[in-house]
Parts: sequence; C-alpha cells; structure tokens
Amino acid sequence: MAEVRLENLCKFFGEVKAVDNIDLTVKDGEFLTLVGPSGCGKSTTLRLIAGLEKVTKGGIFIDERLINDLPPHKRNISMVFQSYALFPHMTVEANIGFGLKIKKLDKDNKKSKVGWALNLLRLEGLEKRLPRELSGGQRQRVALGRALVLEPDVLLLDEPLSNLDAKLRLRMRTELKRLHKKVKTTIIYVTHDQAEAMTLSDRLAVMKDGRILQAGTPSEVYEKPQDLFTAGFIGSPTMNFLSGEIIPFVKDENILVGIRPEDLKFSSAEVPDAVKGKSSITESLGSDNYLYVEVSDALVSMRLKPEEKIEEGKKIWLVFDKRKLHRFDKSTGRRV
Amino acid sequence: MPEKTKRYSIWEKLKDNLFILGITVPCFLYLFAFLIIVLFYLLKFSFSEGLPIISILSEAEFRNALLRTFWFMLIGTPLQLAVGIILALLVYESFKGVSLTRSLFLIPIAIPALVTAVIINLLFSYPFGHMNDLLSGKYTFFPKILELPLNFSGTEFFSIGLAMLGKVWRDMPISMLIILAGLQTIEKEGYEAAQIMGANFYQRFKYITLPLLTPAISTVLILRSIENWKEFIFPFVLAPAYPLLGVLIDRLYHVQQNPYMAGACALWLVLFIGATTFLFTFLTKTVRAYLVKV
Repeated sequence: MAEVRLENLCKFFGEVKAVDNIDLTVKDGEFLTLVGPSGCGKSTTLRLIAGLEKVTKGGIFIDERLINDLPPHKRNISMVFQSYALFPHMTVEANIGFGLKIKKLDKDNKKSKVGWALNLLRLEGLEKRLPRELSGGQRQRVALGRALVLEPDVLLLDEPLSNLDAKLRLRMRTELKRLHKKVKTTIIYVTHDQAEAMTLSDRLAVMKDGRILQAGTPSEVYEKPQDLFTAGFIGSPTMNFLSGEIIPFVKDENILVGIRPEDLKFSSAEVPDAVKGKSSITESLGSDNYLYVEVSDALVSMRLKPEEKIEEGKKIWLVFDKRKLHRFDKSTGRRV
Repeated sequence: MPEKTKRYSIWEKLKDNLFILGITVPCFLYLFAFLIIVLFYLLKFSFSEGLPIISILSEAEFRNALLRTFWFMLIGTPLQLAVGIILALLVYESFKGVSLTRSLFLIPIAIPALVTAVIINLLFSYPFGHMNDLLSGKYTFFPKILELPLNFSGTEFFSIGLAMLGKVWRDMPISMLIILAGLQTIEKEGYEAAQIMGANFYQRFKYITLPLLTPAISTVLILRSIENWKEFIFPFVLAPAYPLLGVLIDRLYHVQQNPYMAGACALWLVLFIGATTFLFTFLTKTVRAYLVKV
C-alpha cells in the first residue's frame, strides 16, 4: 500500500496537451477513479503513473519518493489493461505466475502465490486453460490475479470492465469491491462510465481536456458539482439545465439552473414558483419511470413514483426542490 | 409420436453438395493428378532393374552432393530465418518512410534468380571481377588487401558460400514478410504488461515474441528448408564444379541421360525434405512448449 501524489503533472504530445497540470493525491489504500469522456487524458495519466509514458513536466510521487525517471518495474505497481493483455500462449497458471518467474522466485514460493491468486479470484480448476478457452469475466479475473500476485503498492486499472456485457460488468463491479476490501491496495481506476465510478470509488476525479475539474467522494461530486460539465457528466439520467430567467424564483438570465430528475415533482394545477410545461414521453425502467417534459425549447426529465401516471401532451407544472437546486454562471460554467 | 429422422442416400447427399463438389473436385484433380504422375515416374525409375534407389547410395558423386546440400540447407535455413527476423524487426516499428523501406526490402524478390546469380558471378569472377579489383587496391577508396586475385569459384567453400549468399539475399523478402505478419498479430499491450512486471528486452523476446512467433518461424523454417534442399539456379551458376542434389539430378538426366539414377536421386531428395519438415515442426513445438512453462 502507498500514497500516490501527482504534482503539476503534464504530458504533451507535440502541441496536444493530453495531461495538463494535474494535482491529485490518492491516499494509502484508497480506491480512486479517474472518470471522464474519451480523450480526456485519464488513460494517459494512468500510463504516466505506470511509467509507460514519459512525464513532460511535473512530478509523480509514491510515498513521497519521486518516481518520474524510474522504469515501470521499479515502481512496484501493477496494471490491468482494457484488453486484459493476457499472454495468449500461456495457461492461466503461467499468466498469473509470469511476473514471479521474471522476479526469479523459487518454485514453492511461486506455487503458493499463484495458488493464493487462483483462490482469491475463484479461478481454481481453470489453471491449465488458455485465455481463449475462458469467458470474458474469467479473463478479467486472470488479469487481476496476474496483477495482484506481485503484491503491488499501487494497482492501476484501465477500463477493465469495458469489454464485458452489462450483466457481467455489474457482477465484476461487486467482485472488484470485494477484492479491494480484502487486499486493501491503493487502486487508481480509469473509466468513462460514471455509474462505475460512483459505485466503486472511495473518491473520484472528473477529467476533461487533460484537467481535473473536480475530485471528491461520489456523494460530494453528485450533490455539489463545481461546474456544468461535472454536473452533466455525473448522474443518469443526466441533470436538467434550464435558463435562470424562466424560473420564477431565480429570474436571472446570467444563471443556468441545474436540477436532477429525482428533485422535481409535477402538479396538474398551477402552483407558485413552478414552471409550466407539457408532458411528453414516459420511459419505464422497471423500478423507475421517467417523464420527459417540454419546457420552453428544452426537454426536462423527471422521476415519477411507480404509482404516478400521466398522459402525453398534458399541461403540467414542474415543482422544484429548492434545496437541491444547482446554480451555474452561464459565462464561466462554474458553480455560484 | 417422435418424428422420424429422414435418412439420406449417398445420391441425395451428393446432390445436396453438388456445388461444393463442382468447385473443389477440379482443384483436387489439378493438384493430385500431377502429383500422382510425378510420384509414379519417380517410383518407377527408382525401383527399376538394378534398384537405382539403393545403388545410387554407393555413388561418390551422390554422397558428396547430398552432404553439400545438407550443409547448404542446415546453414542457409537459419541464416534466412535470422535475416528475416532482423529485417522484420527493422520495419515493424512505425517511422517516417516505413512503407518505402518495406517496399525497398521487397526488391530482391522482383529480380529473377538467374539474373542475381549471373551478377554475383560477374562480381566474383576470376581474375577481373569487381571483388578482386576491390581487394587488389584498384579502387582508390579501398585499401589493397590481396597481392594476387582470388579464384572464388575454384574452392568448394567459396563457391557454395556465394551460392548461399545469393540465395539468402534474393529470398530474404519472403522470410521478412512471413515474420512481419507474425509480429503484427502480437498485441503491444502484452509487452507493456511484461515490462511493468519487470521483463527486460531479452525476456520479452524470449517469453512473448518468440513463442507467439513460432507459427511464423515454423513456416519460414519449413518453406526455406524445402527451397534450400531443392535449390538449383544459384549452385548451377556459381558452383558448377560442386553440384548440389538439384544440379546433380539435372546432370544425371540431361547430360548423362540416366533417368533411373536421376529419379532415384530425386526420390531421396523428397524423402529428405519430408524428414526435415517433420524435424523442424517437432523442434519448433518443443521450443514453444519449453518457453511457455510456468
């Protein structure tokens, strides 16, 4: 276990600023997720920590030791790749034991460590199989085993669930949580899936254009997004944004108001401080129903109680939970 | 009532597969009919009166040619593989002008083997070839090394060496392309994972590149060894005094007008090719199994 600190970290590819002045501390034993859209620099940050890319500017510290110029294997980190990067010609056992073989561990020690990893990841009985004979979830577990068997200070996971189907992804999420509780290694996880980031992490850092926009616990980021991008990126369905001038109790054209679907109610009769709209389609997700309401030129989503039903095209009034309102400066996009 | 399974007669099966048969039978006929004719004559000549297949073994000319061809194959095949691997590694990484470099490396294959052999012959001819001129100090940019010109084709070592040089140079693009195709199937992330685990360049090559490249290496070894066993043009032009089996077969058939001995010689050649193919397949499989052990 170790603390990872990134200080003014930059990575430029020619003119392109892939990572732009990042400051971040990942505490000892913490599960931190870098989340953001494709091309935001999260994988590059991970590769910089791994030593697979050279730092342009700034520093990477593991337990206060500057590791910028250390080769990857001297950083005591392990990495799981999006494609798993298993060796296709090696059995499960050989894949997991590869790092130990390179470290020239004696046979008995190697056998017991590989056995520990097989047991931890519930891979017993599959030792002699080749990666092509495994399911996606099993391959994923082999990649995790190969990384964990080396007892790294820091475990780096680069979108490890993105190649799995939705059902398996959910199962692997639980599995990852269980693993983290058991091994207590510092984990830096990269994903573009905000649901994954919210459910797995102790803390998450939202990235865009090579910068970290906000870092905090999932509830902090969800409940108090510091800018428009974070507010819109975290949460599903996404936060609704309405111009302040159409909301009676805001009446400010410089303000953009954000409200989450679960913080809206509707009324069939006009009520004070409500905004008029017209009901549109209803989406049913089984446990939740979402109603889309046309307000001015925007489409606002709101969560309905299971017993609530509404016809399409009806005039309704949207009632805001004022405590849950997010106000953003239209020009800067920052929270006010 | 369980439904009765319909039983098809052979005629019905043939009718169902008429299209597949229609397109595959001509291919098989083309391949096997010719093969059967060749094998028939080889066997006919080899096992004719006096059993040439056995009697040729006591001929010194055959034994010498066999030994020469064996060495030609044994040294030439790994040499072609090594050159193929080095060139493939050179053009594997993407850099500015990689396509042009790859195309340049393909030039030797576009030149007819006979032309290459004749040019090498001219370069190394005695006493006025370019190589002798160069080593005798006739070109100002190169120091004088030889007092007297060297007769390269006068010794077995040099003339077979020149034939091998020509063969390796001319066929290097084939090995390069096969190895390059093999290299391109290896995921780069595997190397990165190994690098993080502490594997150095040699270990990455030994445990990842080499085993994953064994199918390509095996293909190169088998194809090149077959080619080397039956090589004709380069030794015919550059080492006429020291015939390999291919040249000997031609000599027995055309010059000595002895199709029986030529047939026996060719049959032995086919048997040696078969044995070498088996050996290289076994060898590459064994090496791969050793490399992927935990």
